[in-house]
Amino acid sequence: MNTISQTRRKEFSWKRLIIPMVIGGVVGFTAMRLGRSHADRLVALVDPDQIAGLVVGLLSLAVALFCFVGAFFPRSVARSYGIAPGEDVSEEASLQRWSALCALFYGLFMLTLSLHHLLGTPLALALMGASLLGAIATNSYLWRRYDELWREITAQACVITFTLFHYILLAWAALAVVLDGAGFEPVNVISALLAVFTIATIRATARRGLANLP
Amino acid sequence: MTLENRLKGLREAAAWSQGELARRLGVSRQTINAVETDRYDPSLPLALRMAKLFKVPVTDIFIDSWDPEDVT
Repeated sequence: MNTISQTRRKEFSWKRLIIPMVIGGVVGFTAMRLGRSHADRLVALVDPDQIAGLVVGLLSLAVALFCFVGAFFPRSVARSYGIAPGEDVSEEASLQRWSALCALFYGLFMLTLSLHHLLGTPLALALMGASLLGAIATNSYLWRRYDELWREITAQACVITFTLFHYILLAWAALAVVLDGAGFEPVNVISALLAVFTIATIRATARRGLANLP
Repeated sequence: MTLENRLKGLREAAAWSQGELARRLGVSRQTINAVETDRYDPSLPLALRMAKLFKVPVTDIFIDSWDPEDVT
């Protein structure tokens, strides 16, 4: 018997392709119809320079909700983490809930940053300070719980993000100094940073055979 | 490019699940899964722990196809 490990081949299934597409289509269409007027009103409240921050904030909240709710479905957790069905997933579900909390803090920070003029300076500063402290505490706790694989995934995502992003920071600094403040808005820079980090994390996780979305 | 390995065969011979092996080695199940599917090379300390646990040399678990003769 050949005991050398082999990369698993995923069987193609029309059911797994079509059903999520149909659900996505129905949910997207309904959300578009229902949210159209509300979205217009929300966007009207935001400074055009802050729209990227609002979008990233809302996406972070959606990720937080998706992760938190998904953690209560063992089959979904098992699939996401590449665990055989029927095995205990309480450890992974717990990690997923903590990740959801982390995404919630990022979402709250970005939304507050984008809508700060509606909240007033003291409340905006308090909310941003609280969400920043929450994100630091949650990330520190998650790092301590991670084993070597998860730490390597996190480190790899950070390296990819820095490699891609430091050029933007250099350009930002150059424009701000040489052209006296011209260039990118800070909110847009942070939004791009979080977007790049999210994509890098998904890539690093998928490369290790994880992040199998339901 | 990751190394090929015989971890899955050794684990199955010991009749352990991925979760059981992960618990014995003090790592996550995802680490065991990633190693078994050739998607992750473990750290040297973890590779040595695997060898100790299965009572085999590290070179019996991980197969490196590199040949010094190929280097000119």
